[in-house]
Amino acid sequence: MVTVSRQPLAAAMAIGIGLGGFFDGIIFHQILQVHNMLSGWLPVTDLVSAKTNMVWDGLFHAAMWVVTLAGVGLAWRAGRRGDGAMTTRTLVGGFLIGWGLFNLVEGLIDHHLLGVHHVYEAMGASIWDFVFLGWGAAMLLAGWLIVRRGPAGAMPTGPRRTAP
Amino acid sequence: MRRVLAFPVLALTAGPAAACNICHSPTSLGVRHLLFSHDFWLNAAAVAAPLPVLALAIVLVAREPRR
Repeated sequence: MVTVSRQPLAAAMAIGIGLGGFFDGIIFHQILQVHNMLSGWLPVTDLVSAKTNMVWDGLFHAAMWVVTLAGVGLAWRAGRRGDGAMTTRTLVGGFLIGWGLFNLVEGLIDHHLLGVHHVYEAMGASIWDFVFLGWGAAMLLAGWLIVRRGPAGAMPTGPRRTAP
Repeated sequence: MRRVLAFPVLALTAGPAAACNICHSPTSLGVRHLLFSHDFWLNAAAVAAPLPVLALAIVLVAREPRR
């Protein structure tokens, strides 16, 4: 009898959220420098404003590091308790769900609701903010489909159950 | 051995910070001024805003449904 649990999926999802946050921070904030964490409220016009934004970028990265660590902790706990297997589908699907969720939540709150920054800050609120949301929705959907098509019990929708 | 012991002692004192070349530059003073201005907590809340939603999503998935 194999006990089925959602713990491995939650772990993969948390790591996926972290990966999404790191991708955003590393690619958009640091390498491409198309926006920074508060560049909508505190425009990057000189060295002081750039470095101040850099501090907020760092705090954002630190938060993503904590989320990733929580994901690793959840995976460790699930493995230790034998709470279901971390199948490839659960891992990949969970990553995609987490990353997609990050894009959707961060995009809706930071880009659209608060306007603390926009994807391409030089254009302000633009089509790129919606591309970011669409990208997140596509990842979320793809992840959900992958997990759903996984082996029985990969993502139980009902009460906790057992499989032979 | 003394050198080994000196490292943590120095690291825990304010001496190295006082010796920091860039910490007291006009740029860093400007950064601190901008960072800790009146809207510090508003900025912090804005940066942290997505986190509770993401954390809630993880908790909801991790929670086992009741029998």
